[in-house]
Amino acid sequence: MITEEEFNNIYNEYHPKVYRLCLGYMSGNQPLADDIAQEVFIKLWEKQNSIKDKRAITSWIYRVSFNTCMMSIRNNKKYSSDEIEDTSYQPEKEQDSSESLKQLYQIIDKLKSDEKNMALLLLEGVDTENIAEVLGITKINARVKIHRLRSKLKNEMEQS
Amino acid sequence: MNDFNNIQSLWSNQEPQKQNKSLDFIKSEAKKRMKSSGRRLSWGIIVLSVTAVVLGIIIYNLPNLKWPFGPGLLAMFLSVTLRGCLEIISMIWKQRLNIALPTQQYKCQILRYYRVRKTLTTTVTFSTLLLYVAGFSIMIPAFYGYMQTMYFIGILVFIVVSVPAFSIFLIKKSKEELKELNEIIALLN
Repeated sequence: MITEEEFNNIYNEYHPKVYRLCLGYMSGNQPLADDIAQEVFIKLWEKQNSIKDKRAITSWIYRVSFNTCMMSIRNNKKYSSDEIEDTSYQPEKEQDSSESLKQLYQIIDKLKSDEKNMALLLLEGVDTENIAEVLGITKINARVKIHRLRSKLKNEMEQS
Repeated sequence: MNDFNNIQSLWSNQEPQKQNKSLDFIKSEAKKRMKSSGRRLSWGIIVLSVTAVVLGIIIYNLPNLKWPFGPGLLAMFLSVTLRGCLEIISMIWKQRLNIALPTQQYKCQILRYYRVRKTLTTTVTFSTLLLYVAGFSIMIPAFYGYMQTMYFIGILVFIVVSVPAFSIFLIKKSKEELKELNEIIALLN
């Protein structure tokens, strides 16, 4: 069971991460990512009595985030890869990093669904064990895929 | 940008998003949903249920189930009930999808759900529509015997206009849902 205070702490710690993850999944669509992140925490509140192992909260949150994103594809016709240009992060000060970030979003958007999920978890710095648990694959399999994906992301970023 | 750590820091240093919804809003929204969970029914299910109940009452009050009213009304009742039950099962199925499953398993679950919805949208919708129309059609000649010519013509005109209009509407809606389902299945695969 999660107390209200614990919920507040979890929210403060995980909201930015969940939001970025949703943002990556939804091709940089900020309003959509905001709605889905909100939905994830509503679900956490609803399930606060049924979550017994608090150590598993990280993987629970990421699993629910991805699954909510998947479910939201149908409910949101706004979802479109064409929106990267308009809605992704566009800081005015650092033009270079803004361009790089936009490229990163485009690379993520081109990945296959499973690779995309793994890439977003990797970028959030989630460890191998949790990545395996979130995606429902073995640790060995996760390690191999992570290795390949890191190289792929590096290469793609170099080329772009 | 040749180091993965640089990519990672680029990602995590994105400008923090301004939180549009406060924590209190999230809590109150969650409490509201917990109170109303299970009470949300789609309009389709409500319309189908009401029609089935009305048809059921008419059939129950019929003195006998002889041709053509008995079989005609039974066919209509069956088609509406079957469609309604399938819609309710589909809704319960969707509500019971376990959102906390690992992503791969959840994806399999929703893909199976969407494929079943596809069958429901195509085969089942058109079969039940045909059964409903057939049930009504076999009663038309009998109406002629029971009603005055003017009333009969009125009903006939209503049927000739409403059945095709309703069928076109249903086909259009089904096509839209089918297109949407195909797109989602392709995206998830």
